[in-house]
Amino acid sequence: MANPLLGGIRVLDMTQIRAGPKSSRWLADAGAEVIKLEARGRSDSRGFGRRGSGDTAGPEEVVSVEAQREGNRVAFEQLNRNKLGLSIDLSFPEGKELFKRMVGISDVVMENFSYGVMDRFGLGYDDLRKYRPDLVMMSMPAYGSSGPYRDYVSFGWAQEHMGGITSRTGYQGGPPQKTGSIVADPVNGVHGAIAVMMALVSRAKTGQGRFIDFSQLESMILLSGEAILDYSVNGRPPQRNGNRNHILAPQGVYQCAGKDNWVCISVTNDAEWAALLGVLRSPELADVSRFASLELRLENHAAIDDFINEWTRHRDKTQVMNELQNAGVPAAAVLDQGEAYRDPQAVSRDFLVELPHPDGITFPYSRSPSRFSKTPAEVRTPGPLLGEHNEYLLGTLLGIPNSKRQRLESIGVTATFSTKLN
Amino acid sequence: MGNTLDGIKVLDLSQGVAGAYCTKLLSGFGADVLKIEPPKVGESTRGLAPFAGNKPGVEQSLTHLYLNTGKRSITLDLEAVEGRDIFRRLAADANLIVESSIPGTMTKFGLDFNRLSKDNPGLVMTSITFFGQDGPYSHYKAGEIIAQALSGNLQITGSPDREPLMVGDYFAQYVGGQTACVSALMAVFHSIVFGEGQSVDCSIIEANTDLLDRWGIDAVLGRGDQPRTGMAHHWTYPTQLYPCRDGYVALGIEPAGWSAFADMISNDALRKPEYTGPDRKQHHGDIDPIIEDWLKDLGKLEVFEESQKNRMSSGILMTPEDMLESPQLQARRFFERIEHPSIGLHMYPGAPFHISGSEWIQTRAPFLSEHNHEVFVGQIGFSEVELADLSAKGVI
Repeated sequence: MANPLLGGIRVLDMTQIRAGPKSSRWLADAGAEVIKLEARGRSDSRGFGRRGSGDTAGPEEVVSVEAQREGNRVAFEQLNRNKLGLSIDLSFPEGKELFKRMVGISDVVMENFSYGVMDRFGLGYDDLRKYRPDLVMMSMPAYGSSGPYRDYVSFGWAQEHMGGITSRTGYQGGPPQKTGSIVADPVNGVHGAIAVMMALVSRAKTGQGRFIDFSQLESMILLSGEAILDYSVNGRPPQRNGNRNHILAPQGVYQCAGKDNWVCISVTNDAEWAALLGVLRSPELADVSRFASLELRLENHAAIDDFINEWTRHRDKTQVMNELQNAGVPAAAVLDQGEAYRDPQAVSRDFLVELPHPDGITFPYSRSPSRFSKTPAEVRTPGPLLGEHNEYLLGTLLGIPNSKRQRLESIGVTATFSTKLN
Repeated sequence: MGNTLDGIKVLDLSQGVAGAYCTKLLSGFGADVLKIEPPKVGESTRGLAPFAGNKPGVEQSLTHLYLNTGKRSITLDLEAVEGRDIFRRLAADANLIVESSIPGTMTKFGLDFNRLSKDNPGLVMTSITFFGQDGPYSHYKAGEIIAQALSGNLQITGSPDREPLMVGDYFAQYVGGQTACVSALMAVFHSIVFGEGQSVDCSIIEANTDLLDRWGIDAVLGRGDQPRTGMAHHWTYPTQLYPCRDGYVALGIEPAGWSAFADMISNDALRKPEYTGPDRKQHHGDIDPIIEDWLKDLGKLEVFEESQKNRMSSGILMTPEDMLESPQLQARRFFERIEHPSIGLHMYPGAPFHISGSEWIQTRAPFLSEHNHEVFVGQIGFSEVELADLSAKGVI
């Protein structure tokens, strides 16, 4: 069989919640052997009666415990498919020994504990390099490994605001708004995967490992570069422009038939404006003195919006999109989350896949958004049970005999669960 | 030990934010990125707002200045046969090509992966487009707001009482650029280790749908779609943006919890038993005024520091001004000052992450065609006369 994209790479993944598991999911989808390290009582967002994924749960929940478990399970499956499950309790000396032996046969260690936790365990980068001299290790606390905020607590919720993207998200004249999918964690997750890949590319050429100091705040700010320059060069604070754009007009979100159905239109030049007029057939909008240029359309945007809304509001959003696109006008139905996986484009590209699960159900997953021509990144296995692969990892790979593994299990150093939700 | 991507040669044919962000990150960690732009007009980020002094111009776009740091620029007309021949010569010893053209364009030019990899079996070619290379919408027109709409993100951002709202500026395209970057690096890794190149098809829209994580799959499973919730978290309360004296606080009370929060703001009205349980959000009409009253005379940094002292996960909404003055970002020397001959000294965000032994390289974005002589004469070996001829014919 052909070598997988990241063939031969083994990742010991201690990350929890969303950003870290998103990072390692990229590696797992690409065929690295990603080992999700958990412990009894410290499993990652499965809903073992403890709090769930960081941006979804608090000690006091509004949603029912059952709903939370199910919801967390969905999150867990999305973020942890293709990974192997290993449980080792690092508070036992034997647990630390097992961990160090695992590090010895791994290429990458990833963690997103608070700053200093790994060092206090005696498992910082300098410690671990003794067991694997060419180790790549990434630590991703919220604010990085130095500075006055390094011990501060944070979840993805705060990072989208700290990082500045929401200061440019809001209706005109209104307050900032949160992003729908609370984007900091997944954004930081992809940056984390980029960091690990850069270190692995370098290691493949030089044989040397690297330590990655990842600040989730700093990573998030990279997506606001032009706003930083706008402030630095022009002195302009961040703007909230709703759905408008000062070089595209008209651009907006327009009401369609049905409840909470919308279409967006974004006219980028005069030719597309002419094409839009051809579809709308509105004599008023054909008034060259009011609408013929970008400047005029920006000036009279509200009037244009009224005409467009009048035309769209009894029409189906998908039909509007197709009719406008066929006429050469950039337009899109505003899809809800289910539709985003089921529109003809997503279906044609098999974006949603399903896997049978060991406990008898079939679970949906979204595929990697990248298609590799020779080494596909597929969803191959569901998220692991706690300790599901202990036997392979500790027995087969590390060669720990069965009798010793049974003893470790009986004293609680390892824990093997047979179902997801118990 | 050198920068992580030292020796990696990248040809960047892409237009727009996604490709430019992808290759900015590569260049930042040592890759040699050659930006190949259409003669005269240049690559499209040069036309993107904001502009220095609010004056549009090929060298005026701050989006371009930010996204193209560390790269070299040459011009080359791929519509011209000679332009394509020159591109083939450059591609013969590149590790990676990043492109964003309408699907089919590279094949039409005879510059598709199958052709180029004949002379360079380890070559990786990453295509980053809104829809991906195939599918019924792949020839539809797209842009930022359209990507946000079709990815399922637009519908869930903004107020429940108003129309869906886009996330600021070029967000979806940045996310597409991240996806192109990680995917390109994976394929380059594979090529180094196994000697086999390949093409990679990245969709900006799918990259953004992937942000939905659990919410997307919840909807697929029939558990309902996420409503728009404005400034508030979907269900934990009060995890919400609140105004304060000088801006906005992103309140979050984990991990210390509600009673610690009541202690911090010293308000016994918050200790009602019905507020401590899972139904707290139902009482937001009573609780919000207490929080708003507490915050109205407080500064955001004050609230942030006090929350953190009490082990709450709150943050603040940071503007660029706040970031430049942030003690954390200053202590880590995050921002960098870069000189531009006509625009002057200005501040750029620094490295997205730090890799030991690897510098973060961020030099001024190139002027259009700034490196034509260096590349065409110095690197490829054209004579000065041939260079002038190519220029006169409009090939470069």
